[in-house]
Amino acid sequence: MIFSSVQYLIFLPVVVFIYWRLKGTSRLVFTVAASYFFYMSWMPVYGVLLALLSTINWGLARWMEHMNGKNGQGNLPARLLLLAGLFLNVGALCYYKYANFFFENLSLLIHAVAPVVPIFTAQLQSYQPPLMAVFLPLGISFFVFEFVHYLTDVYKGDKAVKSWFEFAAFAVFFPSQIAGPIKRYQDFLAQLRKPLPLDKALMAEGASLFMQGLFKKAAIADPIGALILKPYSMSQMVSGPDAWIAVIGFTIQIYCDFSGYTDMGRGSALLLGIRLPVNFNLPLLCGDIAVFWRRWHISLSTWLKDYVYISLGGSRNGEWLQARNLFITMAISGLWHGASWHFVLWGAMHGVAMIIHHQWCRFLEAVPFMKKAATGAVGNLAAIILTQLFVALAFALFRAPDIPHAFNIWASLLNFGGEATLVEPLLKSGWLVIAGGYLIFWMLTEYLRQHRTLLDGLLKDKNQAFLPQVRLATYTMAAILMVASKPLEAVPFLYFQF
Amino acid sequence: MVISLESQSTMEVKSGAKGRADLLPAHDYNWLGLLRRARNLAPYLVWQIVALLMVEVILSMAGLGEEEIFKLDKQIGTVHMVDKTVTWRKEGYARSYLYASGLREPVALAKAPGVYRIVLLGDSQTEAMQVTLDKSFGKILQAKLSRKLGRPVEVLNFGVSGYSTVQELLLMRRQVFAYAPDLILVGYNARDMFENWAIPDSAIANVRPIALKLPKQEIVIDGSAVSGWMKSPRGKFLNSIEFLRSHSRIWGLIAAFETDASTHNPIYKTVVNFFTAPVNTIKQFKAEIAQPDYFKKLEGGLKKELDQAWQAQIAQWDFAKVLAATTAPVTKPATAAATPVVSSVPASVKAPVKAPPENIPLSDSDKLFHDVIANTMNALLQEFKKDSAKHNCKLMVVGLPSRATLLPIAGMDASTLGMNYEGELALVEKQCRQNQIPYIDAQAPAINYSSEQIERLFYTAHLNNEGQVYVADTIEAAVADAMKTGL
Repeated sequence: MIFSSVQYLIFLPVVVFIYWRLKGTSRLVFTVAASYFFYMSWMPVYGVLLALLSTINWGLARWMEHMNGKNGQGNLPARLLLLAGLFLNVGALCYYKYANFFFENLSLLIHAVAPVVPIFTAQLQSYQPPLMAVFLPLGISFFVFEFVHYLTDVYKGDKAVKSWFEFAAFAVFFPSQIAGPIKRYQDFLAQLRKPLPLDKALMAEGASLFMQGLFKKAAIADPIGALILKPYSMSQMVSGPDAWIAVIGFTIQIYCDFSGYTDMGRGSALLLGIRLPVNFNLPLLCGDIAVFWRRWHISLSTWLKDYVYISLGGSRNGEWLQARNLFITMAISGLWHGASWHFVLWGAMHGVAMIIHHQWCRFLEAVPFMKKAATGAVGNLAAIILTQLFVALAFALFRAPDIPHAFNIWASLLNFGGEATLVEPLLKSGWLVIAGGYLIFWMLTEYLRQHRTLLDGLLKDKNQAFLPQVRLATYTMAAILMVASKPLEAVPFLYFQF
Repeated sequence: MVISLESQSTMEVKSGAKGRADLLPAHDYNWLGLLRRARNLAPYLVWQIVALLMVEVILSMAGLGEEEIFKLDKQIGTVHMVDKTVTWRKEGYARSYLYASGLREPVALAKAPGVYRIVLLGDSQTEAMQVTLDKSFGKILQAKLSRKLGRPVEVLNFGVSGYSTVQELLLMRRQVFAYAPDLILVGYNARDMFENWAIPDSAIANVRPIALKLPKQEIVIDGSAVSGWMKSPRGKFLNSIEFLRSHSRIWGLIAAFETDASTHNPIYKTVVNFFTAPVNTIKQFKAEIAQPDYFKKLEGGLKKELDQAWQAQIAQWDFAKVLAATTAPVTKPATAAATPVVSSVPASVKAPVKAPPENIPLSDSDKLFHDVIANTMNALLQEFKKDSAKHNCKLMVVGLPSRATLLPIAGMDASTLGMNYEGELALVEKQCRQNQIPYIDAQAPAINYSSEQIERLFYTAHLNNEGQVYVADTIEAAVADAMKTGL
């Protein structure tokens, strides 16, 4: 069941209700059971793999801790155990996600080199890739990264988790199971052992977050997603307006879809007294690509920074190597998003942008009057437009089924001829008004939340929190508008395939 | 959150009231409890109303929930709502406003000097809500004719979705002559003649008066089906929320869902029928299941809903009575069951390239029913002719193109009682000729079009912008001719 389904809207309140009735171990066992139920509602066999991986990682970490205790940190047996663990986890990810991609490309390579190889030419030319019918277990990219983090941290001296159930809960916790955020076990387990106290404020915050996420997904992301299906599937040029709607529309779609889903997950977790890490912080408003990656899918970028970029050497070994590390990290990030070259290219584009940005910052430091201009109002606005334009253009590569389709969309952006077929459906859907209305609503509530105004007596209680009747009224609005903006066909959640 | 708050406030009420319960008599205690409860709930209620009003504003800006157009009418069944914003989204996209006249533009009753006024009557295909008014074939025709004839021409569109010929006649009598038209164009569209005698179902668009012409008798226009429908629970309900229906976009959303479900969702239909007319539904179901071929029908796939409705009508019709009432009974061929229904289609009509009139053998009762329908259509055309002549106004009939015949798509029914739309048009043409009413077949040129060309004229069932241009181009010359000639 996905968070925006009717089943989940029944599942969640039931789980929350029972969760708070239970205490201690029974609550822990219940959390694991409910999460497995949630995860296995897609395909029961997924649960087996996850349980198996969880158990092995749990055991490996405890063994590693034991070795660390006996021989001191960084000893050979512990290092071997870490390597085995990494091999197992990354291997599982590669098998399920990248095997076919690897063999397809291997076959292409073999066929390409076959004519120039003097021996076994015929055999090489007749090479067929062993394509496997593997199902991609949902959320594997997320939980494998959590396991890698866990093993690495334990290897470096952090405490391993003693209780299997606690570790299982970390691995399968349903609010973050399918699409993150990628948790850190130290933080999560502390909260699992001692959840936030159940009170009105917690429930209100959780419910609001959930509702906000649901609205972003159902009323903004899904309708625009249904609208822009066509241009990305076209292999001939589309009209300029259509291409722009497709490019900007997808950027808004993926943001609202992903951050909406995370909001729903974080809201669900809050209802269980657990605060999951923030995953998005207004990435579409920033004017700096490095800041963008500190605000977009934060839990992934910090993971990549901690476990890839820093492992590669980070910024310690001079300009050239830092640029190389940035590029590799971003390319891996691209590959993580999908086993396809267009994802890799998308990551690489961001890698190049990060390198250029880095050099640009150095240049600004060296030329003070340029720095003054760049940090002024005009400079900031230009930076935001430039950054977001780049982000949107790069996302076309992310959305398109392959690289040629993305190039087609880019080329179409400058196509001044052709019939604009998306303008009428866009107006007809009322999407502009609903999405624009949400933006205004969001800014207004943020302002009211942070400032004291004349409306406080009407909207807030004495603790400066919005009154429950006001919250409930916004839920009613959201619910009706979600129904009103329902697209004709259901749109699957974007990050499901990763 | 809400639950916890509410339960808390209820608890408060209980505990607060408990303290006084000893002092106060029982009925006072209840009053106090109710008052306290109301006071606690009041802010929630007020804020909910504020929320609904805000949603209304957003929806009106977005043009969502503005597809309701019908008002119930005792005589005609349905008419356009007035002073109503309409944003059509089902097919095409057009934002319009229905003025006090029910028209999509403000029109003064009195004609400016020198103006030639043409009135369009018809159903949804004429109404053209799918496109903006200036893109509808009437307005294109207006521009073309004004240019061609060098004089101001006005085309007023009185088309209303779902209208049958008899409804168009009634609307003409009530409203159209006040505008002193010089020419009336009646747009004929698929099934119009059958709709002259249809039993209303749950859809408001299908609330229609019945017209019946029996041989040697005057035509009867009977509104009892309309008044009956208006007295039904559904009719009463819709009437009671008239204000909401014409002003609330939230209701518009509910209605759009409801309309969709009541036409496409058999489960919903059965449930609604059950609650609005439980006895009838059960009876109908019993009768249906008692038929020997009921289960066979289920096996054979989906039986067309409309056909089922016709079967039900025919079953209800007392044919013996009709026969007795007619002094010259319809001759029954000995092998009626095997006789094709070509009798109503003149041999002079060119055989259409595609979709020829179907030669399905009709049973006696179907044949009779078919003849009643045809005779009634003929009588209605005569009424049109008589009334327009009385008001010094020319009359013309246009056979509009129908997607269902030109390029049938799954789920669109093409024939009723052995007659497809080509057959209907042939019959109307014959009757027009007999009654000396000019007739234009606007479907004819499209018959030879390729599938791609035909597809370019329609959204799903209705004409798109290109289709509107096609109709205007097709009928322009004939309309111009009619304008030049005398009555």
